[in-house]
Parts: sequence; C-alpha cells; structure tokens
Amino acid sequence: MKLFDFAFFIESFPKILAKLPVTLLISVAAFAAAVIIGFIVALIKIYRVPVLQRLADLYISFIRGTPVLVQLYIICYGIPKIIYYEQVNFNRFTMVDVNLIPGVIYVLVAYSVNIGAYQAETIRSAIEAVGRGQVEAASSVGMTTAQTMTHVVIPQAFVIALPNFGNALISAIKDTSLVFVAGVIDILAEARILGARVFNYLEVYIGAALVYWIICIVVEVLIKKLEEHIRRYDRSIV
Amino acid sequence: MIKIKNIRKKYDSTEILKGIDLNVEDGKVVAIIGPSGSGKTTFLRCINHLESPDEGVISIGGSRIIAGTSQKKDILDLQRKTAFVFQNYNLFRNKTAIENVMLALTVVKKYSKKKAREIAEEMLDKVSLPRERFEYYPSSLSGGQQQRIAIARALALNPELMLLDEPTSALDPELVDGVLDVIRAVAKEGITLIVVTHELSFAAEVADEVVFMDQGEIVEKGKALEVLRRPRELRTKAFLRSIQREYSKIS
Repeated sequence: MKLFDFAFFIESFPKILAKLPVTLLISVAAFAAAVIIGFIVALIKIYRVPVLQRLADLYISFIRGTPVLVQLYIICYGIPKIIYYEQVNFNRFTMVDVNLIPGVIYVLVAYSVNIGAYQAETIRSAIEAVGRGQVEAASSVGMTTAQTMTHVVIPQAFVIALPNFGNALISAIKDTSLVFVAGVIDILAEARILGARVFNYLEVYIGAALVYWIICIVVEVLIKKLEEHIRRYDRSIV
Repeated sequence: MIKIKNIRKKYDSTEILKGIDLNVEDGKVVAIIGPSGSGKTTFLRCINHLESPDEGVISIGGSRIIAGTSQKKDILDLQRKTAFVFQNYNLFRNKTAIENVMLALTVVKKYSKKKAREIAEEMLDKVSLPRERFEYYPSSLSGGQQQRIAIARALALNPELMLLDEPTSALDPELVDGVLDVIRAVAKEGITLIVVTHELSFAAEVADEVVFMDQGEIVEKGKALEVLRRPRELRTKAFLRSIQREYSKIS
C-alpha cells in the first residue's frame, strides 16, 4: 500500500482543476450580487429608513448568527417548496418545473444573501468614512444626493472598502466548497467523486486544496494591483 | 438683495441662534466676527441650508425659503445661487484640482466637458494656482492651494452670494496672506460676500459692514470701521480688546 498515489494524483488533478470555472463563477457572481445587496442595506442603515432599518438589522443578525450550510439547506429546500405550494394552492408559477431548476440558482441566491449581509457593514463604514465635509461641499455646489453619491462618495468608498472586498472574495471562493448540497459539481465535489471511485481520497483532497490555494493567491495579487492603481489619488493613505 | 429674517436654531434644548436678521445689498461684503460658540458658523450654514434653521425666512434673488415649509427642490435652488467656502476646504479627494472646479459645472449646470474645463482654467488662474498643479490631487497640495481651489470651485458657479466660513483659520500662518489676497480680489469683482473671520484687519480693509455676534444674537452691526474702531456696545468692546491683547502679546 502506498501512502500517496502520485500517479492517481497527477491523473485526477486536471479533472479537479477543470471545475475551477464553476467555483469562480459562483463566487464572483454571488459576490457581485452581494455588493449590490450590501449597498442597498447600507443606504437603508445610513439614512435610517423606518421599518426597513429594523428588517436590515434582523437580516444581518440572522445571517451572522447561523451557519452558511444551514442557510444553503433552507434555500435549497425552501424555494422549491414555496414554488410548489403556490402551484398547488394558487395555480401560480405554473410555467416553472421545480425539478428542473438547476442547483446553481439556489446556490447563487444563498451565497448572495449570505455575503451581502457581511458586506453591508463594510460598505456602510466605507461610505461613512468618506466624511460629511465632502458631502456638504457637494451639496453647497448644488449637487443632489444621487449626484454626490455617484461622483464623490461611491468612488472613494469603493477604494476604502477594496481591501475588505478582496478578503471577502477570497472567503467566498473557499466558502462555496459547500455547494455539493445543491448538487452542483465544483472543485471539491469533483474531488469527492473522483476519490469515491477508487476509495483514494487523500490525493484528490490535496489536489482540491492546491487549486483553492493557487486561485486565492492569484486573487490576492490581483486585488493588491488594483488597489495600487486605484489609490494613486491618495498618497496620504497607502 | 439678500434678506434674512428671524433665523432660529436649537440643538436639543440649547438655543444656538436666537432670531438673527440680516440684510445685505448686492455686491457688499459683510464680515461676521465674534467669540467662538457665538453661533456665527451655524448662522452661515443656515443661510444655504447646510443646517436647516428651525424658524426664519431667507430670500436670495428670486429664491425664498421659509424654514420648515420648503421643499427639497427649493433648497437645491437656493444652494445653486450660493457657494460656500469651508474652513477645512472640503475638496473632493478623488478629483484633481481642475476636476474639483469642473464637477459642478458638468453635473449641475450640464456644461460640456470642454466648456467646463475652460471656465475651470480661468478660475484657477484667477486664484493663482500654478498651471502645473492643475492635475494634482488635493492630497499632494498645500492647505493654501487647497483653499484657493475651493474658492475657484465656488466662483465657477457664478453665485449671487458667497459664504466663507473662517477661510484662513486652518492654514499655516505663512499661507494666510495668499488666500486673503484672493478673497480681496473676489470682493472687488462685486460678488456679495458674507465672511466669518478672525482676521480683524482684513475685515476692516475689505468689509463694507461688520456684524458682531455673541451668544446666538447680533450684538452690533454697522459700517466696518465704525464697529471695529468705535464700537458702541460693551460686549463688542470687550471682544475687540481681548483680541487686541492677543495681538500686542506677539508684537
């Protein structure tokens, strides 16, 4: 018996690597949606919108206080059940076949909602860090709130939030390794399948770990480069 | 003509402004002086609604704002007739010097980029910012340069009224004169100015009228030299004396 079957490792590694696009697609798309959710929630909190503010607090508290795996289960079982319930009782959504909804949809919803809750706080503090002074200056030259946001606040808040975004994206790449519960074949799910065929798991799991590790390093470097480029206007905070 | 009537402002239960009236004729320069905490900055911020007054009426040109009843649109309209220069400059940090001046021109006035740039260049020349600094970001410019850009940004909008809140207080002493020179030049162009300032000699030279505020009210107002040289009210006298004492300590 061998401790590490190198030939098997070499053979399965490319197959695991081939699932990298799945992982990347899910994490990047969910992250992008999460930033939009986070931005809306941040605005609700900054402008203290009545009622919605309470809901936002509840949302953030729930997501932070429950495991992402549990949230995934709730979405994966909840959404089909709601649709089915509506179909049976109210004859709505009849064009949808619940069994044909691809798992990746549930996964995207679950991760967007999850990451969005965490990013809401990052975005809120980034917007507040831009400072009242510049917002007042914009209003003193007659800019509307929306104009102030697009031209002054968001570009700077983005730069402030960028390091956090980088970390969150890296977390997202790793956290999506749970998507097999929805039947989506990503890096880790592929590794499991390959391992199960020959009852050799160590090689494939190490292969999966390597893929995650490399992509996380690449993302980290890219974010650093982007940060350097984008911060050229602000020599004082580097 | 700028007419301000009965401006009142409270924070919690503290009355900051206890009913301020002020009329300013077009093209005049008014300096507001007074000890810190007298409400002069709050008053200035109320004039263009950076702070909304609890009571009072403000009319500038054709715009008229009645506290508490005015719509967002009217307030925006008023803000577009005025310009504000802040103590801490408050330049947009993600914009270069020239972009700071251009932004409101393209976004608010909807001018073309080219036209906005021409106006911005003219304004930055007027405040004598060296041309090679036009593309610098605020973080690489001195306080004096930043404040001059802020004045150019205000001027570019061609406001009916310019409000300056202690425009030289945050500057290093050697940069004060340059900025005062710029304000002097602006005053000569006939824009109506209301300046909150601690620079009494500057007020004496440039202002047509001086207003002395203390504890949320106007104690004395009148021709600049009269108020500064022959104040009638005891509180004005005491304030001017305390400032002179500071002066004589150094000289």
